[in-house]
Amino acid sequence: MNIRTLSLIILGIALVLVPFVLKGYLVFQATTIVIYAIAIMGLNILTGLNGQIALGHGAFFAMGAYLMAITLNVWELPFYVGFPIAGVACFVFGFLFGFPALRLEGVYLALATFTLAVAVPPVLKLSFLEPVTGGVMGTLVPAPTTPFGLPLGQDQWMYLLTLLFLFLMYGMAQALKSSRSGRAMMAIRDNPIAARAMGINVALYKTLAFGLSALYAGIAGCLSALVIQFISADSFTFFLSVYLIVGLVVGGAAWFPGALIGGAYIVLVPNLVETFSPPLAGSFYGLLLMVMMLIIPKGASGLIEKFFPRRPSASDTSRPAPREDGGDGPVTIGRPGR
Amino acid sequence: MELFVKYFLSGLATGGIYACVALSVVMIYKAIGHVNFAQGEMATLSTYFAFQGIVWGAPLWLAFLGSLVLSFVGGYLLERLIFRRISGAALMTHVVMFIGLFLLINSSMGLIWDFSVKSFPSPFGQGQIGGLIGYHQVGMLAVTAGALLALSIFYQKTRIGLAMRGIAANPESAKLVGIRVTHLTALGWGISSALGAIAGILIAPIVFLDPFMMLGVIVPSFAGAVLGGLTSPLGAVIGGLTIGIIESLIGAYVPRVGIELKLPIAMAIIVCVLVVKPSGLLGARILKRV
Amino acid sequence: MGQDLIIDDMHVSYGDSHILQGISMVLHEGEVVTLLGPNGAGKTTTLRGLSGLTKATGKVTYGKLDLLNMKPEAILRSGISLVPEGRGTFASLSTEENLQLGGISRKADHALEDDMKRMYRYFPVLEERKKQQAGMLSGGEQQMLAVARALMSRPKLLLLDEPSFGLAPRIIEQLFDILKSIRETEGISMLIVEQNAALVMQFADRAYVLEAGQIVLSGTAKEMQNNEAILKSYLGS
Repeated sequence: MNIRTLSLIILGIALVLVPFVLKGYLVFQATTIVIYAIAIMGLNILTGLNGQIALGHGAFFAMGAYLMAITLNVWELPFYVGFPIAGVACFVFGFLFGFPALRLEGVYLALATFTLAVAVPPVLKLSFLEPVTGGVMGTLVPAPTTPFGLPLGQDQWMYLLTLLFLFLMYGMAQALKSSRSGRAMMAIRDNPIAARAMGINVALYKTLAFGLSALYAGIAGCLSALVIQFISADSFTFFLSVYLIVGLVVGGAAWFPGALIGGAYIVLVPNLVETFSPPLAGSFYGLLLMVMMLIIPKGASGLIEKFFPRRPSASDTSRPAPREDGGDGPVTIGRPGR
Repeated sequence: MELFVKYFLSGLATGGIYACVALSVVMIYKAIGHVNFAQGEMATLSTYFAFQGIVWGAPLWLAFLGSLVLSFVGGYLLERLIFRRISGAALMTHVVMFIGLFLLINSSMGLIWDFSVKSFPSPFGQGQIGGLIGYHQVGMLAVTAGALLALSIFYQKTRIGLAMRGIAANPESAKLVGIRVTHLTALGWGISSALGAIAGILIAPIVFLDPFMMLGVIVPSFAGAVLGGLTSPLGAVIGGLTIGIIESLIGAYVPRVGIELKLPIAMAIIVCVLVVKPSGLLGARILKRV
Repeated sequence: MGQDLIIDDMHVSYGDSHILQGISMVLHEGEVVTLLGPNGAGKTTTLRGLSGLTKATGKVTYGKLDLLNMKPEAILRSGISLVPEGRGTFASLSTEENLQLGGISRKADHALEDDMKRMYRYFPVLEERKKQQAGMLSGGEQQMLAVARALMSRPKLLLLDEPSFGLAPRIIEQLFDILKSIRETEGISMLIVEQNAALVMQFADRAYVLEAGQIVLSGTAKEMQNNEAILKSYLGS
């Protein structure tokens, strides 16, 4: 057993002990951190492993939360049914949404997902959806009671449930990373053209990564609905999506355990800063993102390279290669991949 | 028929705003190959500049002019001092940078002017022409048309405009013929930012001013830019106007939910264009990144 | 020494690869010099370094100027103009606008308009095509446009990167005829990178041979044409 595995096991044990050491509101906060960490881990797969960037994962988070609420309130099914429903739905929706944008330059995916993030609250507030979404007022979500008569408080039980999902989904992410599919995703990240030449179905793996990351966000959304016991459109503004990106950048794009750091950052820092003034937190986040991009020479992609060294590849993208064909036909604006 | 004309005109007026913002997005996209996600927030900030001028007792026109100048200088400096440093960096770096700028501007506006909704005066006054269109909307149309025309003359007829088109067409050759690419790129940011200011000031009397004012404008504007092809200034204008008109007519003719559907429609248009014809109406062929 | 170009120990590296490993060359005012060598020897890199597009180290002087510390626009203003590899057409703009851009570093006056007319006299086909999108011109026309565009800045030294690349023999001949007459009437110095050595040797005064980032041979065009080894390697006979 090497040091890495050992420290992960110690971290895991420490995480399990949290609700027995901390009390009340702190347990709730720890739960929120873990929930964000799950969503951020989805982005780790998308951005870290596959090199895509998406700005709208708050939408999938919202979708998961609402599907959990609908499972409980409308269909009156037990809460554990909500997870597979939301997971599958988010995966499928993510897969379908990503498909058109993935054929194009990354900037189009960023654009499409940006509008997705902005459009979430207005869609949730649509009056004809009110019977299922609760419209502007939002809707209450009954919390599941502690099972098997375990001697756990409600908040301790919710924390442990959330943590269970974190462990499961961390395992899934790790398994993905070392699988054939994971290697295909990384090959695409490093050099899409070479990946295609090697016979990798680029579009399939890119949409797969997108769908998977949507699934992670959806599960996080489910948990958040259960923990907060209330959802409304205004809990899922554009800023939720942005905070997930903040967490991703802070935790490191391609390092799964970093998701916990990212989650802790977006939950705890506002608490510290907002004691002075609420909007200060946003300014601080914004400034932090910009400063990080300026001082890490290659920005977020530099982080990826730090944790997953690039395979040596023929195309050094740091400089524009002198053209060899000599012809330059009708213009193409929008620069080729760098 | 009267209803149609009324909503068509009103859609055209709003479309003019979308056209301005779409154009400012396209200008930056052509210059650096990235979409400025903070474009809307920059425009809102410009509107707050004008608002502050009015609070300090400046005449309307002076406040507006001051905001334009500040926005121009601000856009110029933003490129020279910050975005210059990441030029050529990966898409991800740019996106995160723009999102950071978005947050920074949005929260700072809340910090300085608080988040309450503020009314913003129209320079064109209240009133309607023949029950069809308000003075303010006529003013909006006139100003956006004037701004777009002036910009097109600038690009087509002046040497600086020619140089800027040269940079967009072939950045390296632009250097070779002695164009100061760095200076002109920043100039493009300045113009783009001033254009956003015009849009913000014109839309504020209708939607009222708060830090989130442009969130409802930026998505339709992106839709306009994508519809037009993302690389074509003319396309951005046509796209913006089209989105404005579609949105207004659906609001008028689809009972009950028409107005609520604004953003979802804009989003649907973006997705449809990407599926059906990614290069939009007038865009250059898109380089496929596999 | 006037406006001589003196390259002394110029180096260029991209990342780990050392493309130019200390080359030294001289180009006297009024001379036409050609730089020969196989693909990948560093010919294009040399021209890019001289015009400020690529960072180079060492010492390069042009008259009294130290070129390696100058930006591309300053180098252009000092009288050096590059006709780049692949022609560098402003493809979405018209032929006329391409020429206007060529002169954009100069004052807008009558001399500029006269120069446009002069270019149309050298290259009548460009006048016929002046309103057309430059990207739609044929390869030969685009090459002529590239030369004319470079001349619009009134250079004293013209750098040409493989002007014959991808052109039909008849067009190449026509192009070099025009280059000859430009040299005669305007007294411009030229540094020409070519693959088509046989052709350029009839035109050049002297030649250098670059191999793997180093100058391996130099001499007058006559000497070179009589050298067996060169004939084999570069003149294809």
